[in-house]
Order: sequence, then structure tokens, then C-alpha cells
Amino acid sequence: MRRELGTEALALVAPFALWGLAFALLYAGHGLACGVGVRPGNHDGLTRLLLALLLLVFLGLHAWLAWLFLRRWRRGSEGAVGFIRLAAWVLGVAAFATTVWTGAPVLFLTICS
Amino acid sequence: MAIGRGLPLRLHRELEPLWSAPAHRLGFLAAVNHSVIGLRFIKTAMLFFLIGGILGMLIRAQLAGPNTQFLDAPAYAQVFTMHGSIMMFLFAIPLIEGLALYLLPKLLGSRDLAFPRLSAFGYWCYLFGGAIMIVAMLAGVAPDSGWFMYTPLSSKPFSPGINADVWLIGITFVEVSAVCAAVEFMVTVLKVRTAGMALNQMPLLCWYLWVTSAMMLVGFPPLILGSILLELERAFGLPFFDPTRGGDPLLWQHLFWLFGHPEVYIIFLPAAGVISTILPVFAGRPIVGYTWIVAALIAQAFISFGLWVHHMFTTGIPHLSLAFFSAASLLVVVPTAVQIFAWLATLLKGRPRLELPMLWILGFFFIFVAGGLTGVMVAVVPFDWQVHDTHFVVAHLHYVLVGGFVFPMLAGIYYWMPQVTGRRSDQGLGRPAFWLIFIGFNLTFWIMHLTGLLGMPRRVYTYAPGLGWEWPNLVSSIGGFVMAIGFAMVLIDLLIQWRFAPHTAHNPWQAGTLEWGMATPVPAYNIASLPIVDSRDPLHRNPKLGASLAAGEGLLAGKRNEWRETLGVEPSSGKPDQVILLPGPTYIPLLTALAAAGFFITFLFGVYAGSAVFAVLVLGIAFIWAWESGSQAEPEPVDVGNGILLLPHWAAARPPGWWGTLFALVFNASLFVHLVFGYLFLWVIAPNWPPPRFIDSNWLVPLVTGAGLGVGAWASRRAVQRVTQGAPTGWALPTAAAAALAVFAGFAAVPLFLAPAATSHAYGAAVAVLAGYGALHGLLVLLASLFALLRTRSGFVSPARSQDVRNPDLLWRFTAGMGFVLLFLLHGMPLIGVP
Repeated sequence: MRRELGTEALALVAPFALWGLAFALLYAGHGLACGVGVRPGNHDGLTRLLLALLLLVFLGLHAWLAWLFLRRWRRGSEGAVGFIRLAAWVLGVAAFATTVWTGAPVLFLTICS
Repeated sequence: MAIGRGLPLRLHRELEPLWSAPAHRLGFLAAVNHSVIGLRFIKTAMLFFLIGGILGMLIRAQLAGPNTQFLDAPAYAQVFTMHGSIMMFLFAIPLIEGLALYLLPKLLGSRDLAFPRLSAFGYWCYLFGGAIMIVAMLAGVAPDSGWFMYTPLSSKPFSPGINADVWLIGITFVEVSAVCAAVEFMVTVLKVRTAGMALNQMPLLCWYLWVTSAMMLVGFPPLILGSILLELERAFGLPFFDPTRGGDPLLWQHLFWLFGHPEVYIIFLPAAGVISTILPVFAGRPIVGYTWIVAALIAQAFISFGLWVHHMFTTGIPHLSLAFFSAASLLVVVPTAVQIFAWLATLLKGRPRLELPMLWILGFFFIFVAGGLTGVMVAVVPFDWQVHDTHFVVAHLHYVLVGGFVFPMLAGIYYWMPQVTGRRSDQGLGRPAFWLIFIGFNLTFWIMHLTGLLGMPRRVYTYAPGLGWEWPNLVSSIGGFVMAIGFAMVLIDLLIQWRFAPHTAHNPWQAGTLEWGMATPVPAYNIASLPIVDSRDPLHRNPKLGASLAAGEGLLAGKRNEWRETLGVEPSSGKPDQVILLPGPTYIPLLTALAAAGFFITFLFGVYAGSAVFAVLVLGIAFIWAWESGSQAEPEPVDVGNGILLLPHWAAARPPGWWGTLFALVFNASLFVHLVFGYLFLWVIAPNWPPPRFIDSNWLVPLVTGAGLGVGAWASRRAVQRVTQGAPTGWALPTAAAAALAVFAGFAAVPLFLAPAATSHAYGAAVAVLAGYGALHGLLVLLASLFALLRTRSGFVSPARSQDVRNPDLLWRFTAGMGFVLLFLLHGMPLIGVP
């Protein structure tokens, strides 16, 4: 019971920690690309592709996490465990949407301008 | 069961002297009780608020008309810098700390916080750090580079006096207090609750304070790091922010706003927690969407760390990166809105009473939502470019901070005043004061949006006539003085209530949380016995709970062995798992803070030998502090009541000290991550790279350091295993100590023998700081290993009492992980080269 609760409680932090990692890597990746001389018309297509792939990987991880939390929540539970499971699922879905929203500019804005 | 009248009194007479400060004349200096320390924080923060408010009035007097000569430019620069610095660092954060220190144990049904001595130490650091700032202001050498101290203005060539050093050192000293408080609150909310209080039954304010504390642990290190780097540049010429030598002023902006934007939410979230606590009481029903609010505030805390660049939209960062931060800045509205709609739904589904605290909350709704809307405007990059550094931004930030913090906090003060004083909340001056502040605030800052849109920049000490800025400035100044009169009335009102208002019932608002089940004014021990709770509003379920607890019908009733007892629980379920024995009054926190003050003041005046002496003194007192904990006797189970037997905390698997070490390491990890960020930022972005030369390649130094890290971490782990098996630690701890020496020497050798001069280029400076950080950790694990060895040989360690080897082991594991990353950065990066 105790271990189960501890694992569930970590689930509260996991979704947005993953978003934070994705956000930091996208920003750092773009900064690094501009730092090494990528400019519009100069390797910007490749940079966009790599950043988009990074975004896709994280979206996949988010989707997996949200699905996992949904399953746990549907399994049903009351008290502290039920509360944490519902909150974790809400956070999982919110973090997925957040990653889509903050990562989407990768797909259509100019790189390194 | 009928409660005898004599029993509560007998318990009170037993417990009150045990939990109070010594009665003699200087006894108050030894106080560690959370109510005493919390109220000290609140009163001191109010005093700083008065000083900051007076400075604000000076600003408005100066700007009331064009070409005013009331203040000259240098004096004006000191006044606006101190106004912002005082309000952010000496008022807002400490008021939150004070509120949490005072309330948390009461809300959680415990008798004190996890580390009472740490609370007292934090207060003295705050007081001394704040005093450095105020004394400097009275001496005419106050900081004058703006409250965010942008380089190069705050660098030595452009601020040659002591002013900027006062800010860097004074604020860092105050931040020590905030970090101590954050560790304290994290552990208290997780571990020091009453029986049965599961995570989903905690009052919402505890959730808010826990999340805020986590944000402080992660968010304050970049500011502390930035302050250290800037002070190193100013004092010793290490050019972190000097572009001519490979530094970059933008690094300061990044580090400052990595702290500065989460700071806005660090200030707002506790205030939102106050609303989530008070509003349901006056709505007459439980809060709507408890789980959704918790989820929203966790999301908000994370997203708030992704907004810092929106303060830097005009610095030339590529557009795509700006878009990331613009998107995050717009998105943070969503979790805020979840909370606001939950509050509105609670009001709609309840039967609201418009008592005075509710009036302040309604004021909050209006002002904060307006501030949020202008926040959405400045989150849009093209709009921000137009209004950047104008009075529009000044208006926006005041709407957010005054609306989102001051109004809810005043609601909280009026709400909890009867709990503190035992006297009725008087409505006499409170309502007119509210209206004066509300009208005065909007007069001052609503019109200031227009002043900004008309193009008036911030931080200019005067302006010429004919620009259209005269009348909006005059209106703002009149509004400012109206607001000041309102605040003076609030102060008078609170003083009247404190001394003269009639006594009140124990629970005048019919609230359901545990603090209202305690006697008022609250005794030093909070409650004579601890409840077993099974709901979020225990007093609604059992209105007589307070009386039965006072009569000793809960857990840990009465006094035993002169111990200051409270319960420790499993973090999630709230099931009791240990009895925490808290320390009594002591002068050690004051002495440690005095030694720390000596360190900071000697550093401020460039007496570095004195700083070294005081640093050793701090370590010496900290050793005595740490030595006083634990026990040389084997633990006996303690009967806490209801047939529950628990071990004392020093024999528990996860005592508060272990959690405290863990969260201190979270702070340290954040500091390290930001240090690495700074190093990589300079490496990739800063001008004038690559440096003239990298460190000399050498295989022996990284080999010795790496071996020290690996062997030390392994030996430390081995010591823990041996202790838990009941075997002597033997050679494990001496080996760990020897390995720590190797780590220290390996890192210290880099700047001494291998790296270019630290003053020649930002690369050398960054290497010196990274290696210094590694060497410092070598020293720390050396001291920790020796401490563990001494404790083991003095009988403090056994299979049941293993914390004295477990805590150093945590530090060793962190040092090993961090150390290998450092080795790569120092010795591996030069092999890769500069992009």
C-alpha cells in the first residue's frame, strides 16, 4: 500500500516534468542550432525536421503516460489513491496539450531569424 | 465521555512551559516556537512594507509633475531600486514565510514544524540581511541599478560604489532564509501531520504552500548563483558578464528571470491558497473541484518555469524561441482560470456572506483578473515590443502583485486575526480602508497603463512638460496618496483589534479547519492532544473536537520525559509512523546567523580574511547544532494513545532529517543545473569565444578525481549496509573520508594548475567556479564522512539508529553524480571545442 501510494504520488509530478524536459530541449536545441550558424536557407529544413522529431517523441511519451494514468484511474479507487489517480490523469492530459501548444511553433515559424 | 473542567487546565499547565521560550530577560532570543517565529516574520515584513510604501510615495511625489526637483537622479535611482527590492524580497516572500510558519502546524494538527531551529535561524538571516539593505539606504549607498540589477549597469565600471554589492550580498543573505523555509515547509507538509490526514484531506492551503516551497527550492538557486557570479566579477574581476572577455550580460538576465518569473507565482500561489481556504468558509460550502485545483496548481507551478524569456522579448533572441515562451505565457492563464472558476462556482453554489475578508477577496477578483488580462497582452511579442520598459509594464506588474498578493493577504490577516488575538474582528475602520485602497490603487495604476501607452519609460526621474504625461502622472500620484491613507487605516485598525477589541468565540467564522479548534490566543503547544481526522473539515464533522482535544482525548496527550512530541506520518496516507521529538529553545540559530552575518558583512567590505574566519565559525556552530540531535540509547516504542506504539523519529526509516537532506539536495541540484546552463550558455552564445586557450589536457587529475568519486560513494554505501547488518563500519567511513580528500584535491587542482587565469576570459572564470563547486563538495563529503565516523564511535549509530550514516550517504551519491558531470564539462568539453 505504502509503495503503491508513493508511486502514485510521483505520477503527479511526471507529466509536467516531461513537458519541462521537452520544452528545455526544444529551446536548447534551437539555440544550439542558431549558435552553430543555421540560418534561413542554410540547414534550416534539417533543423526543423530534427526539432519536429524531438517534439514527436515527447508527444508519444506523453500519450503513453496519459493512457497509463487513464487505465489506472478507470481501475477505480477511493481515498488518497483515487484522488492521486484522478489528478495524475488530468495532469497527463494537460501536459500532452501543453506540449502540443508550446511545441507547435516548430512546425511553421522561421528557424533562427 | 464528559470532559472534566480540570483536565484541560492541568494539561495546559504541563505543556505551556515545555513549549514556550525561557522566561528570563533574554529568553526571547532563544525562541524556536513556530507561532513566535511566524509572528516575528509577519511583523518584520509589515515594517518593511511600511518602509517600501514610503519609498513608493516618494516616487509618486517626484513624478507628480514635470521637471520636479524633489529628488535628483541618483537619489531617485536608489529610491525605486529599494522600493522594488524591499517589496519583493523583504515583504512579499517573508510575509508568506511568516504566514506558513504560523499556520502550517495548526492546519496540519501538529504542535510545531519539522525543524524549529531552522525556522529561528531563517528569521535571523532575514532580519540581518534586511538590516544590511536598510542601513545602506540610510547611509546613502543603497542599491541603485533597479530591482533586477541588470548588467552591465550593475557591473563595476558603471556602478563603482558599494551600492550593487549591498544588493547582491544583502539579498543573498535574505534568500538563505527563504531556502531554509522552503525545506522546512516541504518536510512539514509531507511528514508532520496529524493522524489520518491523507493527501486528499489536507487543507488546500497546505497543498499551495507545499507546491510553492518546491518552486522556491528550484527557482531561487538561479538568483543566488547569478548574485554569486556578479559579486565574483565585481570583487575579483571574473568576467562572466563582460563581453570583451568572453562574458555576456544576457547571462545575468537569463539567471535573474529564471528566478524572477517563477517568483511571481511563488508570491501568487500562497495568496491563492488563502483564497481557497477562506472563500468556502464565507460561501458556506466546501470548495468546488478540490482535485482539479490541486492539479491546476501543480501545472501552474511547472509552466511558470517556462515563461522567463518573456521578460527578454527585446533582447534579440530568435523568433522561434520567442514563440515558445509566448505560447507558454498565454497557456499559464488556463490553470489560473481553473482556480478562478472553481472559486466562482463555490460562491454560486453556496450562500456567500460579505464579511470583511470576503470584501478583500472580491477586490482581488477585480484587480487580479485585470492584471491577468494585461499579462496576456504583454505575452504577445509585437505588443510587448511596443510597451517594453514603459509605465504600462509597471501598471501590469502592480495589478498582478498587489491584486494577486496584497489583497488576498489582507483577507487572510483579517480572517486569522481572531485566531491570533482571541479578539473579534472589528468592522469599524476595515471597510472604509478597503474602499480607500481599492479606489486609490485603481486611480494610481489604471491610469498608468495610459501613461505607458503614451510612451513614458520607467525609471526616469523626471520628464519635460508637453508630452501628455502631466495629468495621468498627477492622477497616479493622488491615487497613490489615497491608497497610502487606506493602508495607514488598516494598520490602525489591526492595532486596535490587537489591543482593544472584545473577546470572541473560538470559531467566529464557523470554519472547519483544525486551527479553529485550538484555544485563542493559541497556546505555545497548539493542542493538548492530536486528533485523528477523516475529513477535510474536521470541525464541521465534530464541532466539539477542540474541547475534546484540549481534554487530552486525542493522541500524544500531556507531557512525557520533558519531550516536545508531535506525530510523524506516512506522506500519502497520513498513517502515523513515528513520534517526532522536537528540540527546545536554544541560542544556536541566533549565533549561527550572527556568524553568517559576519561572513557577509566582511565580504561586503572586502575583508576576505575575516570572511574566512566567520565561515569556519559557521561550520563550527553547525557541527554543534548537528551533534545535539539523535540519541545514544536504543529506541523504546512510545505509546501515543489508542493502542498505537511508535518509535522516536531518530529510529524511524525516514525521519524528517532524511527528508530535509533530500530537499536540500534538490536545491543544490537546481543550483548545479543552472551553473551548467551558465557554462554552456557562455560556450555556445557568448561573443569572443573560443578563449585564447583551454585547460591543459591531463589524464591523472580526472582519473584521481573520478576514482575518489566512485570509491567514496561505494564506501559510504558500504557503511550504511554494515550498520544495518549490525556490523562495525570498519574501514568504510575512513575510506570515504580519504576518497573525499582525493575529490577535493582533484577539483582544486584544475584552477590552480591546469586552467587559464580566471580573470583573463569568461572560460577561465567559469572553469574556476565549476571546479570550485566540485572542490566544495569534496570538502562537504569529507566533513560528512568524518562526522559519521565520530557519531559511530560515540554510540549514536546502531541498526535501529542509522541516520548519521544515511544522510552523508545521500550527500555522497549526489556528489558522485554531479562530480562525473563536472569531470566531463571540465576535461571533456575542450576536446569537443566551441561550435
